[in-house]
Amino acid sequence: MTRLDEYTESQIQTMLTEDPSVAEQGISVSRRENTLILSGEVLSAERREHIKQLVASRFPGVNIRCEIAVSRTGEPEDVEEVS
Amino acid sequence: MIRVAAVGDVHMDADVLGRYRPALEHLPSKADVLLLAGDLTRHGTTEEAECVAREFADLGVPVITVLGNHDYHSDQVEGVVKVLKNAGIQVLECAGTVLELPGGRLGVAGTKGFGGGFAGRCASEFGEPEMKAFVRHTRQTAERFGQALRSLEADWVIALTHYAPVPDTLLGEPPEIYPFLGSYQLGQAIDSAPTALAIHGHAHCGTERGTTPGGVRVRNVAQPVIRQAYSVFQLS
Repeated sequence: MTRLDEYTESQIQTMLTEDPSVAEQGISVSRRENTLILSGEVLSAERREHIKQLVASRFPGVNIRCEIAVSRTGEPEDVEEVS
Repeated sequence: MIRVAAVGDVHMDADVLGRYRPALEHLPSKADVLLLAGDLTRHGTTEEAECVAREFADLGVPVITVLGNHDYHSDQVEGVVKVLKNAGIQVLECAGTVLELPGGRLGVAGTKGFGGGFAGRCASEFGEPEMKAFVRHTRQTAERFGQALRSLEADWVIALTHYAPVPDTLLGEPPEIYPFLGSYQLGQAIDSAPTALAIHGHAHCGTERGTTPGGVRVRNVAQPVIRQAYSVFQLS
């Protein structure tokens, strides 16, 4: 069982950037009571699921709330005029 | 009048091939040029650069890019640049180019840029060699970027960076990491030229709009910020 404290939070943040299978710098990690909250955006549901499973497997026992969203990549509807 | 499409931080790899393509199919009817604001890949490998080429080449408009910090991660910059160039994507690093478009001449100068921070909370070229090297890299990059911007002869000049030139567009990011997200020295370079618009990425949790101290509009087009395939700016 992993204790969820500041050190664990830092380790998870570092892992999300440095683990080659993730390499995400845009995921925020925060703690609320005994729950770890992951937030930010990734490009696919598979990338989101992988992050969730990786954190769960490397830090067993940590309650995870995954608020990571999948980026929207639709066409823009408006144009900004710069003059 | 020129319409400029821009997006940053697309982080391509084989697993997301095709993610942007549907929205890019109609690009020529919406914009005259596409600017990519760095972090094209996840780890900066040539294989990922091939994915970038497949996604963003042959769109019917010129594509100009700078690299981002992710694109340096695997120390394959030369290979990444080669793949992109072979696909017709122009890569700028402290350099500029002028496009002759139907609406006029568009000058674009680009650099990845680097960190260091902003007024009142910035790093200095002082102390340990590592610290001096960090800030010196930003200073030298900004100086060369400013020269590239000032040398452009065009109807409109755009500054394209990966790192942020102002703190305005970092709002939403933890203030503690601002020195790793950009530098005032990039803003200073932008203000040294008649720049119409400054485009950057890198700050996924930042905000879209800002202004340099000299009054140049700054737009953070990091994909998680704009929440669409690209943004379009009309210069008129």
